Formats: sequence, C-alpha cells, structure tokens
Amino acid sequence: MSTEPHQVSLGFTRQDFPAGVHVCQIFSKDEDRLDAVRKFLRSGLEAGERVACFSDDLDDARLGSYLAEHSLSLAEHTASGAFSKTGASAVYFADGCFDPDRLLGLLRKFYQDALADGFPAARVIGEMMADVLRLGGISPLLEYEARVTMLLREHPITAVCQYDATAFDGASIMQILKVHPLMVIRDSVVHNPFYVPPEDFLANHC
Amino acid sequence: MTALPDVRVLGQLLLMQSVVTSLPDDSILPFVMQGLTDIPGVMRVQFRAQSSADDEDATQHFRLACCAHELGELVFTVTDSTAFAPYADHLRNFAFMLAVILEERRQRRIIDAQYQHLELRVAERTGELARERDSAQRYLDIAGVMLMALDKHGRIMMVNRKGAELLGQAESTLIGVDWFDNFLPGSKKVLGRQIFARLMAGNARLVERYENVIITRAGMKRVMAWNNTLLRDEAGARTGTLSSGEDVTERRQAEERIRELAFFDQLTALPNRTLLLDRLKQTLSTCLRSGSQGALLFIDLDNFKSLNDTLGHDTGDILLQQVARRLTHCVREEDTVARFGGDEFVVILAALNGSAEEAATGAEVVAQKILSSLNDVYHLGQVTQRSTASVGVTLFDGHNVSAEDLMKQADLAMYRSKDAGRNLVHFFDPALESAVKERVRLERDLRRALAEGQFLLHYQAQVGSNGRLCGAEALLRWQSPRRGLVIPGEFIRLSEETGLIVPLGLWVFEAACRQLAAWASQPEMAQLTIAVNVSARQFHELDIVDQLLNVIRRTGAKPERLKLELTESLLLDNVADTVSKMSALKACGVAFSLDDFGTGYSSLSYLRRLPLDELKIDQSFVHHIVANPSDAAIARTIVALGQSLGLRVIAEGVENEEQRQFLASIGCFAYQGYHHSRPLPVDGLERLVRRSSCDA
Repeated sequence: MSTEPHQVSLGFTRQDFPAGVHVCQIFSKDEDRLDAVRKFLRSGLEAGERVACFSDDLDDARLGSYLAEHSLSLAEHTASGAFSKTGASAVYFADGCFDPDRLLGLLRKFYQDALADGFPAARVIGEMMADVLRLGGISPLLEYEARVTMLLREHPITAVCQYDATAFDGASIMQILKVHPLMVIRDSVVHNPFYVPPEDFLANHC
Repeated sequence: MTALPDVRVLGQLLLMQSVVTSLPDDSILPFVMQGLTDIPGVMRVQFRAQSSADDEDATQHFRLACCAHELGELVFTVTDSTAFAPYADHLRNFAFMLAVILEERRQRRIIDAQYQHLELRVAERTGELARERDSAQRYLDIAGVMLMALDKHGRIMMVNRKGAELLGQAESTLIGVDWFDNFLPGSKKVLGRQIFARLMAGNARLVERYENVIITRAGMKRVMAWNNTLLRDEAGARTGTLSSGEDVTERRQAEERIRELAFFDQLTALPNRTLLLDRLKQTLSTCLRSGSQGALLFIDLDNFKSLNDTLGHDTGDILLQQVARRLTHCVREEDTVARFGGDEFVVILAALNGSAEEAATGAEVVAQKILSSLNDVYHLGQVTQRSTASVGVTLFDGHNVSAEDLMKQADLAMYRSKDAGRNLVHFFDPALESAVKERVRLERDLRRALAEGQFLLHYQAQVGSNGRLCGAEALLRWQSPRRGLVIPGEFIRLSEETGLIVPLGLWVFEAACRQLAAWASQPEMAQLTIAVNVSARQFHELDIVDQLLNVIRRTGAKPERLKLELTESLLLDNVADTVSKMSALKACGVAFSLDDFGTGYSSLSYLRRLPLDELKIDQSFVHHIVANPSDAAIARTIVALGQSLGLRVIAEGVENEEQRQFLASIGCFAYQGYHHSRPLPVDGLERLVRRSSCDA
C-alpha cells in the first residue's frame, strides 16, 4: 500500500517534515525526554493524528499529570481514540523476546488502523529499553530500527525513538545513530550524517 | 595536494561533539571511537591513557590535552593515508574539543565529588546541628526556669517553653517582640529600656542578678528573679543578653507572709517585739552616725487587766486595736509604733532635732499627745469605755547604751508613772537604773545564797516577867561572801517580790526546828521556845500546813516549842483559810504570835476568831513608851486587849530598864530587846542561857 505522505510537524521546530520520518533522540535527563514527548504528542494530536506512546518509566498518571500541566488532556484524547499509551516492555518484549518482525507487524497494523479509523496520519514515540541488549545483543535492535525505516516508506508513521544515554553504552549509541535518518538535538531536528540507508546497513551487518 | 574533506564526515564530527554532551562520562570515548571509524582511511581507533612518544606519527595520534592536562590520546589505525589526510586537522580540532569536554567532565566530577562530599558534610552537620538544636530545645523546654535571649534592641530572640507559658503567649509569636514595651509595668518601660540601651552601648555594667516585676499577656504581675549574661559577637561587641528567670512570686508572697508573722503583731498589725528591737538598733546606729537624738516611749495601759476581766478578751482586743491606731496617728511616719506584748506598746521617735534638752521637750510633747489621745473615749461595740496609760520615756543618742538597756530604762520610767498614780509621763532617771541594777544583782546573789547555804539564824532572847529567859526569836542573817553579814531589811522585800521568800521561809523554819531538836537534849535549853516569822506569801501556800508538819516530823522538833509569828497583813486576805491553817497547826501544838501588833488595822472581830496565843507590841510603840503618853496608852490598850482575849502580850524593842519596868507595870508578860540581849549566834545564846541559869 502506498500513500502520499503529507507534511507533519514534529513539534520540536516550526519545520515540517514528510510523514513517516524516523527520528532518534538521545537523552540523559528525564526532563529532556518528557519535553520531547509533550511536544511530539501535542503536535500530532493538534494535527488530528493518531498518536501512540510506548514507555515504562512514564506511567499513565505521571504522563497525564505532566501533560495536564501543559494544557493537554490525555483523557480526552484517549477517549476519542486519538491517543494510546502502552508500556514499552509490553510492546517490545511481549513474548519475553525482542522480535523485530512482530514489532514491525504491530507498527504496520497501527498505521492501517489509524487510517481506517479516519485519522489522516499516525505517529509513535517510544522509549527503547536497554534490556534489548541483554536479550539478544545489539544486532536485532539495529535490524529492527533499519527495517522500521524501510517500513515507514510504505506506512508513513512518524516515529521518534528515545534512547537513554545512561542506559546504553557509547558504542551502541553510535551504532543506533546509524539506523536513524534524523536526530533531535537540543530541540533541533537534524539529518544524521552517520545514517546508513537500511538496505546498506542490513547488507553489511545482517 | 591534499583532497578536500567530505562534508558528511565533518558533519559527523560536529554531531559527535553535540551528542557527547548528552552522554555519560564512560560512554563518551566508546561513542567517539565507534564514530571515528567512519573517517575515511581509518580501520580502527583506540584510546590510550598515556600519550605516546614524540617520534610516533603525529598525524595518527591525537592528544587529548586541555589546560596542560593530559587526558590521553586517540590513536588511529589508518589504512589509507591519502583518504585520511584531509581530516587530520579536523581530527586535531575534534580531539581538542573532546579534550575540553572530557576535562570539563573531569573537573565537574571533581567538583561534583567535592560538592557531594560537601553536601554530605553539610547534611551531616545539619543533622548534628538539628540534633543539637533539638537537644538544646529539649533542655530549654524541660528547664524549670524561663530562658530568654534579647537582641541589642531589646527584642526577644529566643524564649523557651517555660518562658512562653509564663508570659502567656506562644513561643513562635514571641520572637521579635519588644520585651520592654510588652512585659514591663508602665512605670518601668522607659527606665528599663534606657538601662538596656546603656548596657548595649557599653556604658553600663551588667547587673547579673536582680528581681523585678513583669506583666504577663493576661495582665498578671509576676515577680521574677533574673540571672543575666551578655551575648557578644566574634569581635566581642555586645549583641544582647541571655537571661534565666525564675518566677518567685509565690515564694516572695510566702516570705512576706512569714515576715509579717515573724515581725508583726497579728492583732494590731504593728511591728512586734522582734522588729521593734531591730528598728531600735537601726535607729541607734543612725543616731550615732548622724549625731541626732532619739526617744523611746514605753506605754502601758492602766487597768487593762480589769477591763479584760470585766468586758472579755474580745473587747480587750478591740481596745488594743484602737490604741494601736491612735498611737500611729500621734507620731510621724518615720517613727515606729510597736506592740511589745499584752497591753504594752513602744514608740521610737527617731531623729529628734536640736540639743538633748530640745529632744526631751519634743519627746515630752509626743508623750503628752499620746496620753491625751489614749484618754479619749473608746467605743468598743456596744460598750463605751475610758482608759488611761502610763508612759515612760528615755532619750538616746546612740552612745554607750544597748537597745535592750533602753527598753529597761523606758520600762522603769513607765513604772515610775504607774507608782506615781498612773496616766502620767515620767522620764528615765539614772539613779533609778542603778537601783534596779542593784536589785538584779541582789536577786542573783540571793538565789545563789539559798543554793549555797549562805543563810544562818541568829536568836534574840525573849525574857519572862520573872526575868528568866523563856525563848528566842529566830532572826535570819545572810552571810554573804561579797556583802558580809546582811540583815533581813536589805533582802526580805525583794525575796517577797520575787517569790524567794517561800523557799527562804521554809529554810528558816527547818533550821529553827533542827535547833529545837538539838536543844531538846540539853537540859538548860530544852525548855526554850523559838519564834519563827512566817511571811504572808509563805502562809498562803496551799500546802503550807503539810510542809511545816513534814519539817517538824523530819527534824524531831517538839511543836509545842514552836511559835509562828504572823503579821497583821497576813490576816487581811482570806481569814477563813488562815484560821483553818492556824487551827491545823495549833492542833499539833504549834503556837501563834501576832507580830508588829498595833501598826496595822486589826479588827477585833477576826482577832477573836484566830487561834492566837500571843500579841507582840511593835517596837515603835516601845521606843518612846516612857516619854510619849500616846505610845504608852497604845501599849496599855494592847496589854488590856490581850488580857481580855486571854492572850499573852510580849513587847519587842525593849532597850532599857525603864521601858521594861513600865511594860511590867501595865501587865506585859515578856520582853525582847537589846536591854536583855542583841540577836546572837546560837552559841552566844546558849552561853547567855547558861550564864542566866548560873545567875539564878
């Protein structure tokens, strides 16, 4: 299925991007993480998109309270079906393992359901768990991220992947950068010079 | 020529610089080394903690150095030098930037470590201080006294729970409150503040302990005993005070009450004897210091005992209270009016002006004013009463006299007023004082004499009409070690006044009885009688009969050889009792002679009722009996009276033959006097008796 991606705001800048961009955020402070979530969610919800958030650290109450402080009612958007929040572990490790295929299927379905439900677009912000390294090393993660980039070409979900710099080692973070075409750095969205197109990456690493 | 660097690679370097700022310290180098492998011509990048030697290829070793601090170096394993070459300078810059970041991190770690250490120490110290403060607060709170700190403006900086309770206000709301404005009595606020300000300015010394009155929030007055210390800053400047205060209100009230009880008469609220003496001593000191005069007035109500007996003690008490008020109104505020006891009051007039004569005049004026005031009518409930007082005055100037002596002087003067008819004022006379002192010495000596057996009996012969010695009168003598031989005229009155006459009289009686018992074994002495004088006071002893009979039994004296001489005055009180006692003794054989007959007011009616055996004509009649017809007539009447009552008549004071012959001519039965013998020691009398027997 191919759809014409429309321009979306990521919420970090006034710059619009085509729907389906795959963005990486490396954060070390909780407020940076929260700030990014708030901006990304708000811009999506204000654009009428379906929005999902995967996070363990941010429970519903904390996230709801934080966003409410910034005049964003999650309850209202949850009720309308525009917003959903799921624990990151539950998403990534549903069967006790990290399965890129399953996850890609989930994303695909999320996108299709959004369109089916009348949303013009869909976006996801999720916090990757460092446990993924313990379960299978970094390769499945890199494969997954590379394939996400590829998936988004067909199913243009606007995606932000949040990595906690204090949970992942430096070498892994560098590798993770290589599978994300865009990066959020201090409220700026930049093209990632380390980015390796997924086909090349998968060809060289998998 | 070196090729231009790829912009993408330069972007990677820039991106890495941005990203590393978000990475933890231990992730930076792995991240960078991983990223730098993307540099063209590079196969591997390593980090060395120590920089390599200078001769190594500097283009492949990039020192991480900043601020002369070596952090190590990045070592590139280059497989294509040509491809790598365009990036060498960029990598050097990158390495420098990285070194800056790492150094900054290192410095931050040091600072953080120091900060954490400092935080830890601060936390520990804060905890310690909190514990110390809590502990100190607990100590402050459990302290039984009020603790309070004032700042240099007199505002409360700290107060403990006890203080807050005492002041009646929560601790927290007391902080910053002005002490002087809020808790000192109105009249003390300004002065208290001034003193405090001078203290804080270093112009006054701290009074460490004092008491004052404070006013609580509820308006209650409390007496506080303070203990103060100065608070100073590090430079030694005065910054406030720290005080502990104890509420001594109840204690002071109790002390005041005790003082009142100890020093004030409860009936009249006047100073009592204790306080009077204290004030008198103070006044004496003041006189001595200032050279002024003073006067002591001893006031005794006349006939108060009768008033008490007739109107009751409650009425008497009212009178005393009114007397107290009147006395107070008669004197100046600086004078003292005290109740000395019973109906005795004392007034101290202090600081009388002028000479001794002027002071005496001033005291006389006040004394007369007192007499006049006390003479006014008293309204005692339903009763209206008049009363008078006797006043004794003594003057003093603080020299050579004690308070106790002054009291005696005023007392003596008061007695002079009494003796002179009452309702009078008399001043103390030094001659009177010496008499009193002598009297005191005499009494002391008499008591010692009795205890030490200094008394003895002399005997004066009594001679019958036939010229034969029939008996003797026992006459008391005092063989004093200090005074020599003392006759009764010098000590009998004092003995009667002091009550010494009772044991002394009993001693005389016993000595006479022993003498009779001794004479009983001597034929020439066995028929003699001994006349013993018995005082009224002695004879009115309840058990006098038993006492005398016990002595008679104990000594073995024959009672029929005993003759008790009684005076007319003895017979005036309670005749029935006297008759009863005389009869009891007479039943045992004791005879009675009425001594000094003719000098009193003997009534013939009771003279007839008394179991007398003899009348004794007083020597005052005998002395001029020959020359004075009146005395002769009296003597004649007494003899006739005796004969009509069946009583023997004996005359005393017979000094010559003419007197004896006259007395014989009117029928006198016996004689006693110097004509026959002066009073003699017992051995002298015995010699007289033996000589008389030989002559016969």
